Amino acid sequence: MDNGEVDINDEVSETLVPHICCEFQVLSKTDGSASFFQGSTSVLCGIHGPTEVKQSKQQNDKSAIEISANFNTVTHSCREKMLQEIIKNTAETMIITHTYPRTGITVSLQALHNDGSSLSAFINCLTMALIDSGLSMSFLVVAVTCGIPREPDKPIILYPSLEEEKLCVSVVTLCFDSVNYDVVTSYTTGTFSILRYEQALLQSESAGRRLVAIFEFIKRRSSDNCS
Amino acid sequence: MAEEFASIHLEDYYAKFIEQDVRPDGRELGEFRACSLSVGNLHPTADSSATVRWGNTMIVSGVKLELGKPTDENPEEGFIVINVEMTPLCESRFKPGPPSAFQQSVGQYIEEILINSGCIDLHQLCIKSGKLSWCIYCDIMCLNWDGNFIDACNVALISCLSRLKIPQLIIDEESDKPQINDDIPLRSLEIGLFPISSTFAVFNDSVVIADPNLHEESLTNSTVTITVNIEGTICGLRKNGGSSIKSDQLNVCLEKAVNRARELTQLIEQL
Repeated sequence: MDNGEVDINDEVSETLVPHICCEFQVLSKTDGSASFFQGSTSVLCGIHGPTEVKQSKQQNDKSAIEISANFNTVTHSCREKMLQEIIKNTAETMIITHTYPRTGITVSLQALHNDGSSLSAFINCLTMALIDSGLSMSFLVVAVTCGIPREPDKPIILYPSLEEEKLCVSVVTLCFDSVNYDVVTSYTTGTFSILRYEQALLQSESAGRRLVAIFEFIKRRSSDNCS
Repeated sequence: MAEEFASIHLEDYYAKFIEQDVRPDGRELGEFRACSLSVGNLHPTADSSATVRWGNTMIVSGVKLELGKPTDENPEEGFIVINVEMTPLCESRFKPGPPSAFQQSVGQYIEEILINSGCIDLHQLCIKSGKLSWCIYCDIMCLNWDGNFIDACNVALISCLSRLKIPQLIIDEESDKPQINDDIPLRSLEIGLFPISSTFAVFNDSVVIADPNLHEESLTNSTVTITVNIEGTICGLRKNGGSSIKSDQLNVCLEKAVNRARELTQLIEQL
C-alpha cells in the first residue's frame, strides 16, 4: 500500500465496504448502463449521450447534463430535486463535458431497493454506468456514507442500513475523486462535532480507496470478458 | 481599461488578483463581507421581519403566524413553512414563472439548515394535540443578488424567528373557536443555538476564498457551505460537486466558519 493503492485481496480493508456487485450493459437501448448492488441497497442507471438537445438547453462550450433520479419515495418533494442537483454536479465534475459541446447527456437513475446509504449507492452506480458508456472522464468519483451514532464513544458506522440510519444522530455522505482522494461532494443531515467529522473523513477515505480498487477490478474483468 | 479586461477575460482578471492574495473588491481571500441587519421593517403586516444587507446582496424576510391542524404523523407538533423567492428583480438569470430546479434546490437547502440543526422544538407550537397548532409561514425575498444567497438568507431567517412573539390562546368551550388571551403577555419562540452558515468557493482548483460575490460564483463550479453554531457543532456541511477540496483546506474553512458564527450570533442577539 505504499503508493496508496489497495490490494483487492487485503482482508483488513474487506470490512470497510459492504458486498458490492455490479453488472454492465443491463439495458439494451442505452449508451451505457449499470446495475449496482451495495449491500442490500440496489440502483439501476442508464445513460444516453452525447445526443442532440433543444437550442434552449444547448451550451456552446460543453455538454448539458440532465439527471432524472427516482428515489422511490411515496411523496415527491423539493428534497428529491436538491439531491438530483447534487448528483448532477457530481456527474459534471466526472465527465469532461468540454469534449462534447452543444450536446446533451441524459442520466436516468432508479432505486430498486433502498436499505440505507441511498445517495452513495446512486453516485456509485452513476460512476459505473459512466464507465460503461465510454464517455471521457477526468477521474472516478466514489461515494461513502457514514452514520454517526448518538453516543460519542461508539464508532462510526460505514454504509449504515435503514435501521442503523434511524439510530444515528447524523448521516454524512462523502464523495472522493480517484486521483488525490480529495472531497468532491459532501452532504450531511443532523448535527455532529468537528472531531466526529474528521473521524468520518478519515474512515471514508480508506473506504473510498477500497471502493476504487473494487471498481478498477470490476472494470478490468469486464473488459477481459469482452475481448 | 481594467473594466474592459474584466468583462472579456474575467478568469484571467481574477487570477491576477488571486496571485497577490487579494480580490478585486479589496478583500483578502478569507475575508467575509460586512453584514448589516435591521428588524421590524414590515411591522405590523408581518409578525416579525428583518432586512439583511450583505455587501450588495439584499434580502427581506417576513414571518406570519397562522393557525392550522397538525399532521397525522406528528399530532403534537406545529410546523414551519419556508418559502424563498428569487425574482428577475434581483438577477436576470431568474425568469418569471414556476421556480427552476436551482431555485427549488436553494429553497430546500435553507429549510434543511434550520430543520437539521434542531434549534426549534416544534412541540412548543402545539395548542391542542391533533386539533390545533401554530404554523409559522416564513417568506424570504431576494432584492439584489450579489452572491452568497444562502448565508444572507439564513441570517435574515434566524433574526426573524428569534424575534417572533406568540400569543396565548383560549379555546371557547361552546363555540370551539380560539381567541387570543390579551391578559397573558406574548411569549418568545424558543430557539436553541443559532445555526449560522458560511460559504466558501474553490477557485482555480487550488485556492479557497470565503464569501464569493456574484462574479466569483460565476467563475467557480465548486462551493462549500458549512453551518455551525457557536459551540462548534456542525449542523450541515454541503459541497455541491465541482473541483475537490483538500482536508486541510476544509479544516481552515471549519475554523473560519466557527468564528463567523460567533460574530453573526452576536449581531443577531444585539439588536
